[in-house]
Amino acid sequence: MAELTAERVVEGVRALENQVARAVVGQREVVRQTVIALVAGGHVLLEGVPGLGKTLLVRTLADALGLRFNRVQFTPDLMPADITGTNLLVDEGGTRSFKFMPGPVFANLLLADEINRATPKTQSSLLEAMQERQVTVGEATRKLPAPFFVLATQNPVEQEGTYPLPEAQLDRFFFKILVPFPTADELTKILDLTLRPAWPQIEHVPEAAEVLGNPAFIRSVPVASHLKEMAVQMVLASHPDQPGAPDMVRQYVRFGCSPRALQALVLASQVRALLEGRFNVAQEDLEAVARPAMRHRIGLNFEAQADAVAADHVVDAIVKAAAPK
Amino acid sequence: MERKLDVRMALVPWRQRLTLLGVVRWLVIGLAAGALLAALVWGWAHLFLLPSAAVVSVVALVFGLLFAVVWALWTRPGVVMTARRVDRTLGLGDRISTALEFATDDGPLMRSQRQDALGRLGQFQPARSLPVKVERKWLISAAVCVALAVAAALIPLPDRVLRQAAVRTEIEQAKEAAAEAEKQMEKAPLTEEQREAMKQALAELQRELAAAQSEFDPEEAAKKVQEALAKAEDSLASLAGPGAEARTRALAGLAQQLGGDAQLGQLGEALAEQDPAKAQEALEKLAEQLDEMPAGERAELAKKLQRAGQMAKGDPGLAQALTQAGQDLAVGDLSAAAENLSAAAQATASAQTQANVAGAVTQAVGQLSQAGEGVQQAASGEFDREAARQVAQGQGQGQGQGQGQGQGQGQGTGGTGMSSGGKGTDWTGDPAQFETVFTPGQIGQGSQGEVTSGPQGVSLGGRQLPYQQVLGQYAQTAREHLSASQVPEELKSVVEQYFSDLEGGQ
Repeated sequence: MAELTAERVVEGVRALENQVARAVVGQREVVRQTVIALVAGGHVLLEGVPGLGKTLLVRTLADALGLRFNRVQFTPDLMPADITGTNLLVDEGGTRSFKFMPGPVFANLLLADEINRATPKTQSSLLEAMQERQVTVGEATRKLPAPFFVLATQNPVEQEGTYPLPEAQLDRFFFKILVPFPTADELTKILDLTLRPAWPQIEHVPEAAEVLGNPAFIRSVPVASHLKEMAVQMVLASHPDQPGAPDMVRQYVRFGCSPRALQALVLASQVRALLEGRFNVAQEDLEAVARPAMRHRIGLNFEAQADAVAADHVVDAIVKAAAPK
Repeated sequence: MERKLDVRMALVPWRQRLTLLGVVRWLVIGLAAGALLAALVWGWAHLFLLPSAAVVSVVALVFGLLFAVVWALWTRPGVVMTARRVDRTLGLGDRISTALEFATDDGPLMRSQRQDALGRLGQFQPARSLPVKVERKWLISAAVCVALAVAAALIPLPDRVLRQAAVRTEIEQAKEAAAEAEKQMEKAPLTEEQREAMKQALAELQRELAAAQSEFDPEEAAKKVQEALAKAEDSLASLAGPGAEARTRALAGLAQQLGGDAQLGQLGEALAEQDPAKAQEALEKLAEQLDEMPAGERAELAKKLQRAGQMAKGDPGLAQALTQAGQDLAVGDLSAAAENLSAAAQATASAQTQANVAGAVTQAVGQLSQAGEGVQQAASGEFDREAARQVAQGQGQGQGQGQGQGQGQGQGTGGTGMSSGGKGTDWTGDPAQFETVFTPGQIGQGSQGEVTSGPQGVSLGGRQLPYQQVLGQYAQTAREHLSASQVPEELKSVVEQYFSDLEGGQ
């Protein structure tokens, strides 16, 4: 395999985005953010109302990347073993023994559809898989195939019959991406696409898959010290008890971001810098990835809900407060 | 190191440009601050007397500009800050600051990054990308502050401030007069006790004048000055002792009468010269010569001594001794006459000493009175406003003397101005009631001893005083000269009569 270069990363990602654009109309920013998370090796939580193409996006990505793809439809009665797999008692030649039957988690790309419909117990079964990229069933721990990504979708938590993801689970998602409703033009294109006799065939993009398997290169993208300082300040400023926290944080935030947010901020900025044709991280990269990297790691209080203050508003205030003067 | 130098070298013109922009920006801010300060100084000068307003305002302006330049250079951006500002200004996405920070990193990605950064930077020119411009708010602020300062400087000072300036100038002259009076009194034959009292009185006067100088209200300042001067004059007058004036007149009369006399001529000369020791010596010598003197001369001397005794009645002790000596000589009691002549010699010496003290006191009091008059006139509004304006604004340095002289020429007898230490104060008054007096140390630097020629004749730099104040001094001076010079007797009597009549009418 040829040595990875910035140019190859850009080419691979552009090819991937072009393939996705054949099936997914619009949602360019969602696609870009999803790709950034995948290149950085992170898991993605896609949130939006039903029918916006979340599942289609994930499936298209899997097709283009040529990765092993599994989909799990989360429901309230879904059990952890339905995801991780379980030991079954099998009779082979008169000998009974337990045999491990891998669950859908054993894939490169796992689509956890409507993840917030499952119970917290089942949701938590993904914790080890997402963080350690391994699964422990009984006494045996099994490695998951590399690369391993979880792309979860969820409906807004206000809907009935849903279980909001616990903070520990949320923190493991690299990005939380909000899927907006399509514009009129995009809806028209969706209609045109629907009326076609055949669905577009997604082609495999091997150079994109190559990019996903090389996180070391991404981490070598230089980050100037004042930008590292800014990232640190962004995380600190998300905590209401910190001196540099803006007033909005003090008023509306219950708890702030974890160190994982800092890692996500910088890694995502490094990927974005390459995709923007730069060989270094810029302040605009940090600002661009702040919302998806931080919005799900900030716990808002009741006052925020009462005042209709969204996490994105708080993140914007944090970015403004942490920007170098 | 060489690579790092590349990035640094590329940043040099940008750093210079940013420094220039900083200097220009801070110059405008410094101008605004300096002008605001100058405007405040002028505003203060309109409310309260501030003689150094012009200097202070100019200094404030210069200081503001200098401070701005120094501050701009002191806070000029370093290389790192230059890189960040260039990134931000040119929208280079932190390329330059990253390249600078990782200048020694030699990885392939870093090489690309550095190449990219320098390539992007090379597309811009410092002069074009960073034009010299200052924020509108600072330009407007500077313009407003400069306009304020100019307006404040051009608005005429109120009369009260001018009066305060004139009074302060006069008080300053009063202080100089007090110092000069002290110098003159030092020369007088004072006892240690008198000297101490004199010094104490004048030191107290200096303190009170200084206190009055800081007084805000001109009338109140003048009142304090008058009180202080009156107190000092009383203290000095007490040094001369009782009957000082009569004694002085008596001695002057004796000097005039005895001057040129064959027997008592030496005494007359000594009194004319106001030399107590010589006067005593003359009488003692006469006492010694009595035994050898022919009878006719003794009789003549007896008459002269009795007449001298009558003339010296202003000093009872001296008059009695002279009269008694004359009587003793007339009856032929030579020893008693010699004894009384010796007593008269001592009394003459004592009287002359006291008269000398009285003369010094009169002169000192005269100087202080002149100073008091000046303060009073300034407080009552009789002063040259232009000169006061220059004093109040600190513009009088080097201008006052010429101006004072010029006005004096134009006003003839009454207009001989008092040039006050280069500050140009000029007083006018009724020539019928005032006399122009030249007083050393009172009329300011440069005016001392100056004679100004003009269309009105020749005038001496000085100031006008009521004639009554200078009469005693004039009379004493005239008598001294009459006794010492070869003036015809009939003219002497005319002059003597003139002053006697004036003094009698006082």
